[in-house]
Amino acid sequence: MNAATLEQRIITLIAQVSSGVKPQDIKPHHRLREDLGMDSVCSMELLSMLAEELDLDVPVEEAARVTTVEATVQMAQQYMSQKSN
Amino acid sequence: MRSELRGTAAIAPRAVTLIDALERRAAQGSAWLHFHKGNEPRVSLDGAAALSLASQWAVALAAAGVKAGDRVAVLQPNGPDFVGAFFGATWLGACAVPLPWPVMEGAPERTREDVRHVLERARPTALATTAAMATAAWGLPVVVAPSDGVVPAAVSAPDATAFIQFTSGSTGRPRGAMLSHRAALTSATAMAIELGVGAQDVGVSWIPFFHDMGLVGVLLCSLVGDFQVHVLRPAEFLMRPSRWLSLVSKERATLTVGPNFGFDLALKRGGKVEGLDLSSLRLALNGSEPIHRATLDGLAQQLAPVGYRPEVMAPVYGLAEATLGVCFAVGARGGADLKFQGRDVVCVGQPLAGMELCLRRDGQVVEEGEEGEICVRGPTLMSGYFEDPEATAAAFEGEWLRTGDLGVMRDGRLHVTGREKELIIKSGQKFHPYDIERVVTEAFDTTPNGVAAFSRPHAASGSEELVVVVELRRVPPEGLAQEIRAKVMERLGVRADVVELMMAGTLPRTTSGKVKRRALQRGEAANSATTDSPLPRRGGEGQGEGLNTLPPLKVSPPLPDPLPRWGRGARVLVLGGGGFLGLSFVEALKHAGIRATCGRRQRSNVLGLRALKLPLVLADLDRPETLDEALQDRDVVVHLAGHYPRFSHDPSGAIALATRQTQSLLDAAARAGVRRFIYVSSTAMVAPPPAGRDRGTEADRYDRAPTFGTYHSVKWALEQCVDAERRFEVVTALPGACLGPHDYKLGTAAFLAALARRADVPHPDGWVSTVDVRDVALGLVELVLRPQVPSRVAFANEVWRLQDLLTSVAPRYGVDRVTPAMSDDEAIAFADAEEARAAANNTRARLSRELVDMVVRGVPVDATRSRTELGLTYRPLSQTLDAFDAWALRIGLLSPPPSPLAAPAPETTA
Repeated sequence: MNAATLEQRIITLIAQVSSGVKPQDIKPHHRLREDLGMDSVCSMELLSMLAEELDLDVPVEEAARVTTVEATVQMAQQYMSQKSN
Repeated sequence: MRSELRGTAAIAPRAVTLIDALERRAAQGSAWLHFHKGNEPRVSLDGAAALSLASQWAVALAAAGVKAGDRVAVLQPNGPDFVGAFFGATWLGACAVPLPWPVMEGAPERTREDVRHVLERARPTALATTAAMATAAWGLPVVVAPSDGVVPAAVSAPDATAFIQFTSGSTGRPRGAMLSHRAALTSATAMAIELGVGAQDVGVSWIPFFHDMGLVGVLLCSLVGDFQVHVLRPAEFLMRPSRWLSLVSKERATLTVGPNFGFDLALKRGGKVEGLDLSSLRLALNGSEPIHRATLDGLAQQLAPVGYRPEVMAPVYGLAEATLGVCFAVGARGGADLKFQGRDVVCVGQPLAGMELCLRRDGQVVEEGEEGEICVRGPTLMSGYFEDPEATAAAFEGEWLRTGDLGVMRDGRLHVTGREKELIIKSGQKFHPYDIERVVTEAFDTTPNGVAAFSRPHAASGSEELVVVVELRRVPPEGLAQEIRAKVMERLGVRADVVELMMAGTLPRTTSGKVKRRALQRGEAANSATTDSPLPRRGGEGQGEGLNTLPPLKVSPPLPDPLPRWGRGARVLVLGGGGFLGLSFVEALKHAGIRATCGRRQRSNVLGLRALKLPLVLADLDRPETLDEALQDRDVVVHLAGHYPRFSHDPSGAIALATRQTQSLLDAAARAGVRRFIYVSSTAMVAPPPAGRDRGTEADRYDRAPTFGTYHSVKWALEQCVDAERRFEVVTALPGACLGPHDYKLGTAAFLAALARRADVPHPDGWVSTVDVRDVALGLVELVLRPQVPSRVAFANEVWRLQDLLTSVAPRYGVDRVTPAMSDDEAIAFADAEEARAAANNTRARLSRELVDMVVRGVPVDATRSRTELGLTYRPLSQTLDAFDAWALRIGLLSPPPSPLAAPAPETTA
C-alpha cells in the first residue's frame, strides 16, 4: 500500500469513527483532538481499527504519541515496514 | 399504587473499615486480583500482598506529609499500585481521591490539564501516581512508589470519609461525593449478596478503578465477596475489544460488568466468536449509562452459539452519590421492558438491601406508571459533596437523595427513562449542560442569542451523542462550528458530535425565555421556524441524520456587532444604586471607568445618583415591562434592590413580593441576553459553621428556610430564586455589616451613628462582621471586571461582638459608657414595640426588628475567598470611621467640634 492510499484509508477510518466529519474535510495537518474532535476513546478506536485492518501489532502506549492525521499515517508506515522486515 | 420500593433490611458489612476488610481478606489467603497487560505475563495480587503493599504506600504517603483527614489524589492505571495507593491513603485516615487515568497514556501534561479542576477543588496533600506521569509540573508532593519503613497504625474510622468520588470530572465545577468506610462497605456487601457471589466466582473487568463501577463494583465488591477478578486496562479493551470476551472464555469467568457502549463495542468489533466458550458466565452487569434493548438483543443473537444465555444479562442502576448500586435486575428481580414514549425502556429491577426509592414530581410521590424523579434513601448515600454545601443542599431533601434521573415504576420494578437534570453522559463522564453552554458562549466575542447543549441516543454507536445548538443574531463566519467543537474539546475533553447553528428565534423556549432542552432532545423545535432556505453547511458541522429534526435555518442580514465583553467595556445596569451600598458602588464603577446605568423606580430618591451624573433609566421591579427596555444590551446586571423593611411582620407577603420582583428581573435579563447577574445578598445568609470551625464562610448555607425573622426568610427565598437560574451566570455577593460614608440609618452603621451623636443606643448583642462599604464596592467592581469570578463570595473584614465594638468606638465620640446590650428576647420585644409605635405615630423606630434579627443571628464571617480570589485588601476600621466622620461632618449629621473627634482624614475614594 503506498503512502497516498494509506492516507486515504486512514482518513476514511477517521470519518467513520468520528461520525460527523466528512472525509473530504480531513487534512493531513489536522489534529485528532482539537481539529477533528476525537476524544480518547475515539482515537483508540481509530488505532484499533487500523491495527486490525493492516494486521499490525501497535502497543497501546503508542496511541498517545499520535496527535495528527499525518502522524497516524507515519506510525502505520513504520509498523508496516517493521512487519515486512 | 404509589411509586415506592424498599429493599430488604440492610446487611451489616463484616468489616467496619476498608483496612479491616483488607485484613480479613489477607487472613483468608485466597487469590484476589489478576492484572493483564498486553502480552506481558499477568501480575497477581492476593489479599496479603495487597495489605502489605497498602502499608508500604502508607509509609511513602506519610513521608510526603499525608495526615489523617487529608486528601490523597490517586492517579494510577488498573494495577497493583492503584490498590496500594488507594488503601494506603485510607490507612492513614486520609481520603483517597481517584483521578481518571487517561486512555491514551504518555501525555502527562495533558493529563494534568484534564484533572486540574478536580485538583483545585480537592486540594490534596499529595499525588500518588507513576514515575512517568510524575514528569508533569504537578505543583504538589508526588509519590511514585511504595516504600519500606516503620508502618504506622491504621487509623481509619467507620464514619470517616474513605474516598471522594468526583463526578463531572473535567468540567469547571466538579462535585466530589464523600463516601464513608461504612457506606462503601455496606454498598459492596449489598451488591455481593444480591449477586450471590462466593469464592467459586471469577470475574473479568476492564472498567477503570477510578470509576465508581470499577472501584466499588469490582474492587470493593470482590474484596468483601471473596471472589477473584481478572482485570484489564480500558485501553487494552478499546484497542482490542475481543480481549474482553476471550478473557471471560479463557478464565471460565462467571461474572463480568460493563457500560452499554462496552457491550456494543464487543459486539461490533469483538472479532470472531468461534472458539469462545461463554457458558461459564452466570451474570453480566450492564450499567452506568443508558441501556439499549438493541444491544441486549444483539448479544443474545450473536453470542448464543458460544454458550451465552440471555438471562445472564443484568441491567443495573446506581450512582456515585449512593456509593454505587441502587437497583439490580438480577434473576427474578428483573422484568419486562416498558413501552414509554415510543421507546423500549429496559427494566433495572428492584432495590438492593437497605435501599429505598421513590419517584417524585413536584414534591409528590407519583402513581405507578407515571414518570418521576428517582429519589433514593439508604445507608450507602454520600455524606455530601466535598466543600460544596450548595450542591449538597440541592442534592438532598431530608434523608432523600435526588438523583436527577427520571424513572417509571411498573410491576414494582424500576425503569430509568431519562435525566431530570439533563445531565449529559459521554464515554462514562458526566457533564452539566450549563458547563458546556458556558464554554460555548465564551468562544464568542459577542454573546449568542441562545445556546443549548443536550444529549440524545445515537443508534449507530449505541451511546449518546452530544448536540450543541447555537442561536446567532447574524450569519456565522466560516468554520464557526469547527471552532466551537475545538473549544469544547479543549476545555472539557468531550466531543460535540453535532454543532448546529441557527438564527435567533428558532429555539423552543418556555414562556419565561428558558430554552427547552428536553423538547430539543425529543426533536421538537420552535413552531415559528418555517422558513425554507437552509444555512449552508460548513465542513464538519454535523452528522447527516442528526439534524433533520431541527427546523431549517433562516439567513438574515448581518446585525451590527455590539461588541459586549468583560472588563471595562462591559455595559452594566445597577438596580438599587441609590441605597447606601449602591451609592458607594456606582461611585467606584465610575472611578473604574465602567459604563454604568442606574435603574430607578417610579418614585424614589435618586438625588445621590443625580449627583454622580450617571445615566438613569426607569426600571421598576413592580413593572416588568419597564425592565425589558432597561436591560436592553446590558452585559452585567447588579441587583442591590432587595430590601423590604415595610414587611417585617409579614414574612409571607415579603417573600412573595421579593421573589416575584426578582424572578421578573431574572426573566427580563434572560430575554435581554445578559451574561452575568450579580445578586447582592448579605452575610446574614452565612449559616453557623459546623462544629470545629469558629467562623462561617460563603460556603456555609442554611439548608432550609430560616424560621426566625422576616429578613432572613426573604433573603433565603431570594437565594433559592437566583440559585435556580441557569440561563446566565449568577454571582452572589454577601457583604457584612457595611460601615462608612452615606449611611446612618440602617444596619450596624445606625448604632455607630447614634453613638457618634451621643444618643442612647438600645441594642442587642451578637456577632457583626464589619466591612468598609467602599471595600465592598471595590469587590463588586471586581465581580464586574473579571472574566472568572467565584459564584459566591462574602465581603467582611473584622469580627466583633456588637457590645465590644460599640465600647471600643465610644471614646472616639467622647462617650464614657455604652448602655449594656439587651437580651435577645428583650431586644425583639423592644423592636416590635418600637415599630408598632412608629407605625402609629408615623415616626421612625429607634430599633428595627430586622436589625435585631441580623445581630442576634449573626455569625462571625471569614471572607478569605474575597482576598484570595478577588485580590481585596480591607482597610482597618479606623479608616472607615474617619471617612464616616468626614462625611457626617460634611452633611451636618455631626457638628464640629465633637470634642475628641479625630481630624478628618483625606477621603480616599476607590
